[in-house]
Amino acid sequence: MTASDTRYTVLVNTLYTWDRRWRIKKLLIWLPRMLLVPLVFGIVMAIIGRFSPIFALPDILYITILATGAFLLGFIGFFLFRKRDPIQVARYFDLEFGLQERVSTALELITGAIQGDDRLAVAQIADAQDLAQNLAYKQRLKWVIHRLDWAIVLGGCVILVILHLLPNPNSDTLALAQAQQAQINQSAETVKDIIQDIANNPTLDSATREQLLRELTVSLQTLQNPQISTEEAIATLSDMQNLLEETAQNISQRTQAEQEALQRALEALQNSQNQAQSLSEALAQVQQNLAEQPPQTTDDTQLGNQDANEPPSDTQNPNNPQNPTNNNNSSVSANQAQADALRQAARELAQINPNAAQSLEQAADALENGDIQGAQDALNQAQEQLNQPDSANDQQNQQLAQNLQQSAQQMQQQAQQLAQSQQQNGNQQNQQSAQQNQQAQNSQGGQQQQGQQNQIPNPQGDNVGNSDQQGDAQGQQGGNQSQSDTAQLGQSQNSNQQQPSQQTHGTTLDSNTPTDNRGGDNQADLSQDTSGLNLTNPEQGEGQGGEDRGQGQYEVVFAPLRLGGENDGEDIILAPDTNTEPLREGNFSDNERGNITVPYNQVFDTYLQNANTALNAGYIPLGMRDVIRQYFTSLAPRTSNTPQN
Amino acid sequence: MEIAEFSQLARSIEREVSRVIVGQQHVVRLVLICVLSGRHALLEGVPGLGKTQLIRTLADAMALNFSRIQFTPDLMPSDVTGTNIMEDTEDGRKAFRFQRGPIFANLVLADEINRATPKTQSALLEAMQEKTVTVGGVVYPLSLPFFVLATQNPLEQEGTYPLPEAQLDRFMFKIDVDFPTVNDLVTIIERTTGNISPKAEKVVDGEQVLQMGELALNMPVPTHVTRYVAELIIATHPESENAPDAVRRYVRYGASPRGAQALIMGAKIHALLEGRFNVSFDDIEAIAFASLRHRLLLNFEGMAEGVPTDAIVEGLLKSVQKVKA
Repeated sequence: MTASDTRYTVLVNTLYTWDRRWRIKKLLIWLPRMLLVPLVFGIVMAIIGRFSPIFALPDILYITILATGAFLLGFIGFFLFRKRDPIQVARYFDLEFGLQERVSTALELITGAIQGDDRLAVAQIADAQDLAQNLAYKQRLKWVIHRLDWAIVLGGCVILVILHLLPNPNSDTLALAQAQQAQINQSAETVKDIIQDIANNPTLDSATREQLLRELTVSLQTLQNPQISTEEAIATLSDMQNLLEETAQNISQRTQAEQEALQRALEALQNSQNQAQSLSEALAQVQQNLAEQPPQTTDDTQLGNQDANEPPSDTQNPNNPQNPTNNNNSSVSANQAQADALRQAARELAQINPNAAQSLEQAADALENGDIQGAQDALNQAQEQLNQPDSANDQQNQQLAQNLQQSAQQMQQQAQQLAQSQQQNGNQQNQQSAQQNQQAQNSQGGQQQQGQQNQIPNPQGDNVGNSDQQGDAQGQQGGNQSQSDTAQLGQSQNSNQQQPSQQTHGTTLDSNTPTDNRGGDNQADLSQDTSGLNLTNPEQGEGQGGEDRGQGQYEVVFAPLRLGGENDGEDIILAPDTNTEPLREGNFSDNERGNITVPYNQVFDTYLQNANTALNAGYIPLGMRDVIRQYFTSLAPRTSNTPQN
Repeated sequence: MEIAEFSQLARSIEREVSRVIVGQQHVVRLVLICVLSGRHALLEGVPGLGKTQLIRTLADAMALNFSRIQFTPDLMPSDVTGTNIMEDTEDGRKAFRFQRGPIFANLVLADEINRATPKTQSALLEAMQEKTVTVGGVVYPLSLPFFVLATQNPLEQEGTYPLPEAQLDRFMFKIDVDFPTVNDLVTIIERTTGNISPKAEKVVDGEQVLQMGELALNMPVPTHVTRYVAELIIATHPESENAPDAVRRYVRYGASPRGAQALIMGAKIHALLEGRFNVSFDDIEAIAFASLRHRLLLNFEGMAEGVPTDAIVEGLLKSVQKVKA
């Protein structure tokens, strides 16, 4: 090792000693400040999470911890392990310690980066080394701990812990939303399986398979859309269920039709065989009679020798049942009828079993020609052809229909689970709203008391998320009457004040009396009417715990605000117009207030047409379409030609 | 010359000068730097601040040939450089003989240089840059060391001829001679109003001055300091990306490469005079104003607003980053 190497090593070691201490000093200064970044982030996220169901508290905690760890690792790694060139370190400390570029110049002189007079270079390096070794760097690089910074960090930790310990009102909502998303994903997987099954099913004809695959693929894409709402998922599943059920029903109907055609063909076949048997017996009887009686005429003899297949002569007495001529006449007409029946059966079987249909056609021809034996043979052949292949085909069709039905049931179950989770979510929100309403009412003097059935709206009733309308408890408690009017089914009636129900018609979830106010099972039975508006059974009104009555909750579509506040104005009654005559014709001349009265049943179709246009144009979300249809159905006058959904 | 000898001689020169010149240590230091580096200085200050006395004292301390040229409007170039005169030879013939002008000295004081015409001012160009004088097609080398220390009065501008940029650039420093402080003024009064006038002793000769300059020019300069000087010079140009706003707004043309040379050379001698063996940023900053103030040509807006070039230089020193660590 040369002298220059020794001097270089000494200088560099000195520099790195300074550098290490400087890094620790900076670390102690900047560490709390850097920790504040993830802490503030976590606090902000926790605060946001309390107002908006974006992140769950555990997730925020995990994110905060991960961010803190990442910041720590990155920061410590940057400060402690960042490799710096010695000349850069020397230049920095020349400025930091006011060494007037002595150390950096010495390093460059030692390394040969710069040249200078030998005397000056030696003197310069010696000067730099002497200054560096005698420098009180520990005093100049004191480790300083800023207590205020660490106190702020500690305070941030405390705030974060408090925010995580306090119950988050949105945690349940978040959990339910995640569960709903998981349910939707599971539904998508189920749809995938169904698509695969359908694609691999050989019994489906190509047109039906392509149609099913196309529809199901579109639905799958809809379910896989990350922005899909629960209502849209339910609607999509409902559509798939309907599609599968319809397809299964078509297949069942087709199978049933085939079976009926086969049954009719078999019956015709049996009748033909019986007829042929009867004819054979009659001919045998005639031949026996002719054999017992002496021959009277040549014609009789000829008749007796006549082939049984030939039509009998009309010269016989038609009133004598024992008369062969009479028998021949009746057999001809019977043969013709039987042939027609066989032809009818053949036509029905033409699509199902062409071979059997052809045999039946041959039998019909033979019957018309009087060829009993040929008809018998053809019928036997047709019977054999009918009995052989159709059992397996029927079984396949039945199996296919059963599979599709099972798939439809799966869709139905998925939709029900989704609707149930959504219902729970809505109930929680409603409970929160009800609690807020109760608090508000309590602060106003507590005029409205709980449990006063049929008197005032229950403030703790299930408000179905309509938190803006305090006390607008939809549904009714157990003692409320159910309206039999079909157009108002599903609406609550409280002390003769009808509440316009926008959601969960007929559903009341009172947290205090859950058993009295169940209002159904709160599940959207998508196999039936999903709106909860039972138009056919007036007894299934609101507030009654009917089983699986197709009740569901939807978002607020229209929430009328009443003049003068809530519950003190007139409610909107969605009653059908029982009077077909106009209540009042508008007369502008003596209409002082400028009001115009138009018969309801005249304008309803216009509104309905506009609603249908909007529905067909796709303006309305899928989940809301049934609601709108049911809404207009409930508004429809009885005399109107409104299509009933 | 050894380093210790350099320091001793430098301190001796400053000490002798300070015996005559009261205060103005910074001016003395800058003038000494110019002398040791073999360059020239322009001193600017109001009359009576001792500019001429400073230069004369410096010549006395260095034992150099000193000549003073009082520049006036009717001064001719030949009055500075010398001229050929016709003489009778021994054989009776007539011949030209070059009569040396006052420029032929080691230390030339060009007093009130801005009062001479540009033609006469330009007579100094060759001598200052090439250290030669050409008269009648004959080049006459000047004796080394050769320094031109010029003075000019900033107040009386009427009837003066501002130095052209080319000549200004040849001055290593433009040194502003400030008015003395009260204490310095008291001392000046005491020294100059009595019977005894102090006089500087000769402590160094011309050869030693050259050796001192040669030693100082071998001073090592760290690369990042050199780069800093280069960036500083580049930043004086308004079209530069790193130019500060003041430069972009008020400067028409920035410093030439001679400015960078002046900075480095001056910094080297400044460092040695400070007792160090390397150039630092402090040395650059110490001579930056004297090196750059006459090299920044202000535009019309700058001149109209009376923007001092020192303010621009100060902005430059703040804007250019020293260490990119």
